[in-house]
Amino acid sequence: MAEFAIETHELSRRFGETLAVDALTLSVKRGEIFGFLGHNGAGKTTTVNLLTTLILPTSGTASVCGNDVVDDNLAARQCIGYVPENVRLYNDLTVDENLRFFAELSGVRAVPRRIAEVLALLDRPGWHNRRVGSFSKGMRQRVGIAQALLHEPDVLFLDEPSSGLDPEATREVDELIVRLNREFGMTVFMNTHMLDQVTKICTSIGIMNQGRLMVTDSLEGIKSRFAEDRSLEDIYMHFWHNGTADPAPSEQVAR
Amino acid sequence: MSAVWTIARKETRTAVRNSMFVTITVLFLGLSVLSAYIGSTTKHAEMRIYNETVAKLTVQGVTQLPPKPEIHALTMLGNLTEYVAIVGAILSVMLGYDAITRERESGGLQLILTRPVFRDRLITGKLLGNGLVIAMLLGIVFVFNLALLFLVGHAVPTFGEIARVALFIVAAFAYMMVFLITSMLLSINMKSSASVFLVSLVLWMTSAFVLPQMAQTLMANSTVVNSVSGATNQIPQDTAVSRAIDLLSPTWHLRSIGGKLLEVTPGSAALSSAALSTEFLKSLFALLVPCIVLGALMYASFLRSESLTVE
Repeated sequence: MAEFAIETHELSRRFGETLAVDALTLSVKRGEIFGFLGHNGAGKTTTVNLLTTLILPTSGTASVCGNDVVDDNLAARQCIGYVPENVRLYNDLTVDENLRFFAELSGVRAVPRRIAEVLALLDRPGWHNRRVGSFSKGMRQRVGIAQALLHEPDVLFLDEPSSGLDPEATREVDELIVRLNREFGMTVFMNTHMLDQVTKICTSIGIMNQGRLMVTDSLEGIKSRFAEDRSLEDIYMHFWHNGTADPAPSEQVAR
Repeated sequence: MSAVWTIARKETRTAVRNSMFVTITVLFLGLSVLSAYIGSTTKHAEMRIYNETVAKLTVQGVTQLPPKPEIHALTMLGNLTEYVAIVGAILSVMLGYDAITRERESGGLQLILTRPVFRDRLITGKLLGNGLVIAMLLGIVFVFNLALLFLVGHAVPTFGEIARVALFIVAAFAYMMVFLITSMLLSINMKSSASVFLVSLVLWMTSAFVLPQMAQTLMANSTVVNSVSGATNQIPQDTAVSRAIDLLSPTWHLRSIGGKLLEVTPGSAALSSAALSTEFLKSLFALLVPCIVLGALMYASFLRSESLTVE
């Protein structure tokens, strides 16, 4: 089994004149909760789209669970679960029908049992026959996470998982992510703007700026480069404003 | 193959839960009842007038009675062609216009494309699912109209009549698939469902009204003078151009074969099985060609389009 759940080498993606992802070289170890930070348009979602095989790279390589996302994309898809930012699913169908649909597409055996397990994991065992159309954003987000867990993926990609959720729902999502990571050993790759969330649950982070990876390390590793009293927000803003891959000693935040 | 069936089942389930789709389907069946009733009433009225005329002439001692009007049972279902041409086409557009745009807008497409499923399976599943909905609908129309023929028209359909209606249903299926595939193709290449619906309807109206009218305008008119009254009548005749324009319209093909199969076109009831089969195959071919061409374009667009997922 490969040491890294996700690996990219000089991965680039261009849309016309715009270089959305610029020579991204990144490794995420198995069992990590990786927080991928950056402003809007930094290239986070494009990176997730590349890693989840939704789009093809312009150059470079990427693999998930040791499977190349271009040459072996079906095997790569087999080991990933993906929750987009806005999960709306099929409003005319019930939770059970929505989950059955995605479970069958993923080749899950014993579908009813697995659906029951996943809903129990989300602490929503009574949702089977409820129409998704009547759900709030937070409820849809939970069903979105449920659909991503049906085939027991090794790596879970979450794009802004707490965007638009109330504090209680955000906390539930955070607890679920930690539980999936600790109990099931799932690697989590999470695009987020929420620095509190990153501080609370992530074990490692990467910061993107204009398509380039500024820094990647464990949370402690990054913090140790700066003064003790510097928050993650200070560090994030430092990389955003300086736009350098790593702070030179003279540029470091005063210790 | 199981992924195709999974997607097809989902499409079918979604369609039958769409209240607008169900309403138009009910309207379609309701129009069939009305059409059969009007057809039956007309048939009985013609026979009643003939019988009254014969009775009067017999009383007057006339021995040379007018020939009995040729009333064919299937004529009663003649309006079915127009219902399929109009309501059927709209139903097909309704099934296909948001096939991809809705998935894209809801994010469902991204979820499907991150599953271990080839892209072509997705589009095949959608085509199969919506095709099954059309097939089911036409199956109901078939049984429903034969039942009406018996119940309203008081005519037990013969094997030949059942075969004619069945062939019409096959042609109707091919016709509806043309508009399903057209709207699905547009749904892949356009961003908003509303735009796809609008453009699909414009294309259908072009096929149903504009092209046939253009063809009619370009027909050559020969003038016939009535030797008794001296009145002149213009009889339109096909020209190479008008014929070519007609051939471009799927609706024209449906009307043409529908008229012959449902015995509305004069002389069509007397057509031999071989002649009718040839006509049917010609029309079916003409309807399948756009299905195949547009279908190939649809697959090609879908397989190479990345914009489906990144927008």
